[in-house]
Amino acid sequence: MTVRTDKIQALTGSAPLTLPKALPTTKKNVKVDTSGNITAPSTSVNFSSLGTASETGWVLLAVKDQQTFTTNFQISIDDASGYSGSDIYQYRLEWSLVSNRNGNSNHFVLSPMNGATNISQSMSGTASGWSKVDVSWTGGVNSRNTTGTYGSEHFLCNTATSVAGVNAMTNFDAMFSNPIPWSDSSAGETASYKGGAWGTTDYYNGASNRMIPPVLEQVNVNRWNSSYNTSSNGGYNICFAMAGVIKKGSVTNSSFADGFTFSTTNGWDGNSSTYQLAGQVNMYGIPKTG
Amino acid sequence: MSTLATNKLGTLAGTADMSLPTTRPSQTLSGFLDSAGNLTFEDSPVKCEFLVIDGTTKVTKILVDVNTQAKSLSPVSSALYDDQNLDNVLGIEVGTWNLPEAVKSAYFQNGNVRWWDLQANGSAQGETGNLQYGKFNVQILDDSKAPVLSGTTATQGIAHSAWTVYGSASNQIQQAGSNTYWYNTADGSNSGNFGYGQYWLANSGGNYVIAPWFLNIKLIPWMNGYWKIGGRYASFGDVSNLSYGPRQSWGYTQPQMNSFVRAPASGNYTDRAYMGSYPAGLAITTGSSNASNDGASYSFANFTLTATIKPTTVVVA
Repeated sequence: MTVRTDKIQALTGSAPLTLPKALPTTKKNVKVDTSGNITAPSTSVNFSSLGTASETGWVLLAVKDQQTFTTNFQISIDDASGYSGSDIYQYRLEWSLVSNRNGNSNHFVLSPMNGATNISQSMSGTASGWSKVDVSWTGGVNSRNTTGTYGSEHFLCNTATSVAGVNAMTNFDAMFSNPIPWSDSSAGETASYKGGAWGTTDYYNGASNRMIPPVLEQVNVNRWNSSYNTSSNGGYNICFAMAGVIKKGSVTNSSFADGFTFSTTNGWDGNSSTYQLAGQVNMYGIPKTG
Repeated sequence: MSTLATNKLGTLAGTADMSLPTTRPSQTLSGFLDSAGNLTFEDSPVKCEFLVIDGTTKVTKILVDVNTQAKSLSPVSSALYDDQNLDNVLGIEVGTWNLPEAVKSAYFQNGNVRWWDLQANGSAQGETGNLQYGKFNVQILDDSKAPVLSGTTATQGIAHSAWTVYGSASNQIQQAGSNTYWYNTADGSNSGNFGYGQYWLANSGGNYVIAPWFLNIKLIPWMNGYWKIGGRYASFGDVSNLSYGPRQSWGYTQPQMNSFVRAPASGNYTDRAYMGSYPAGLAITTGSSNASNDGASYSFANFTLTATIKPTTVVVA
């Protein structure tokens, strides 16, 4: 029904408001549309960012849920987002990956992208880190200084004969829906999942200056070794690193990054399509203004 | 409140009786309408309980639970681990149990959680000025708040893991590296199936009154077939000697690997590394090898648990 607010409680306003005819089942925010309809809709209020009234903080720009193995695991700002790469001051990537192959020097690497173009450039790197268990790790150390289509700017972790080696996987969901067995054909098991890594990496998205800030990266590596199929060994590894890479001198490509490709050195360089990744990556960004 | 019977106003037959505020707010505030028809203006902004992917209705990051303790930590379930075997186990539990059913069923259904993050900080205060061997016990809980690895039918030597906490060897940091383990049982043996991990707070001979601490844990269930948990920890060192810096440690664990595990549907606890149920939260309990310095010494603490899930369409709770 329509209620004239200027006829009620002696108010002097003249904006007609329409009151709701039904009450919400639980306490809800009241909304008024441009026609004066007051509602308390049951729809949720969705946020994609943290921020104040005037400034926006971290925005969840994209999530990539890669169910099957792919050589180039690319995540880009979601098409539905109103932001573009030039809007973003800094990215934060939360990643959890599994790989389907072991291999010497088969590192997980990170490449900034502008659309489909790899904008990786030569960077200077420095890092100090720590790892435990008998696998040395190159988190950020000796970061790749490669450019071009298959270039990459940063090592996420060293997978040499360690963290990779998923022989078969129906999809990434399956790894969370059941405790996946280590391969044991005698027990009728057909799949084996032997490796993975996860961590958080930041990226400063400058046009002329780019860097992966030397914040503490926590990269946990699930190391596979056949000897761990025993009761006396745990298949685990943990790495922490204060790793950073930064661009010095002129840039190779001044485009801003609007996404990233996660890949392996053996697979990304086109050497072998059998070195692949699957998993989930969350991509946050801080807009420059507003 | 003045009652405004909307079905008695105008010419239409409304059915929602509303109680309107009798005073205006002193500043612009959010309006709310509850199921009893109370229209209120409150200084309670719409809370951001989860994040969606920008421009979409897909939820990925969820604020699961927050627990803040102003003074000492509170008693929790006696089924949780306390290495003092005290009657009152002190600590906190954070998890999905306080969330609406619609949220739990949509976002936390089996296998939907990709990882959990617990951030905690607080202060430790030795009542006698000597808080020795203080530590946190970390346990994974299911949706009934029971320890996930508490099954009683497990066979010996399985479903346990090494929770190893490593510290810096720097002589400016009073930490030589403490090894603790994700035991199966309260007595630390590998029999049974009672899982917990420990973060140590103080070193032997520690002699301080107030020590801030920080704890950050990431838990990934199931991935690669096994749950695993890693984290960082820092606290103040021995203030009796100001040349000592903060203590810091980090650790990681997952169950030991025997040859295979079974799917939960098999219900077979004799299989290896089987959690028995999906994680729904964490418990942090306190302990010390010095009973006089147990959990009451921990205060002004905040525990915040978030979860990252597979992108899932938002639901109305």
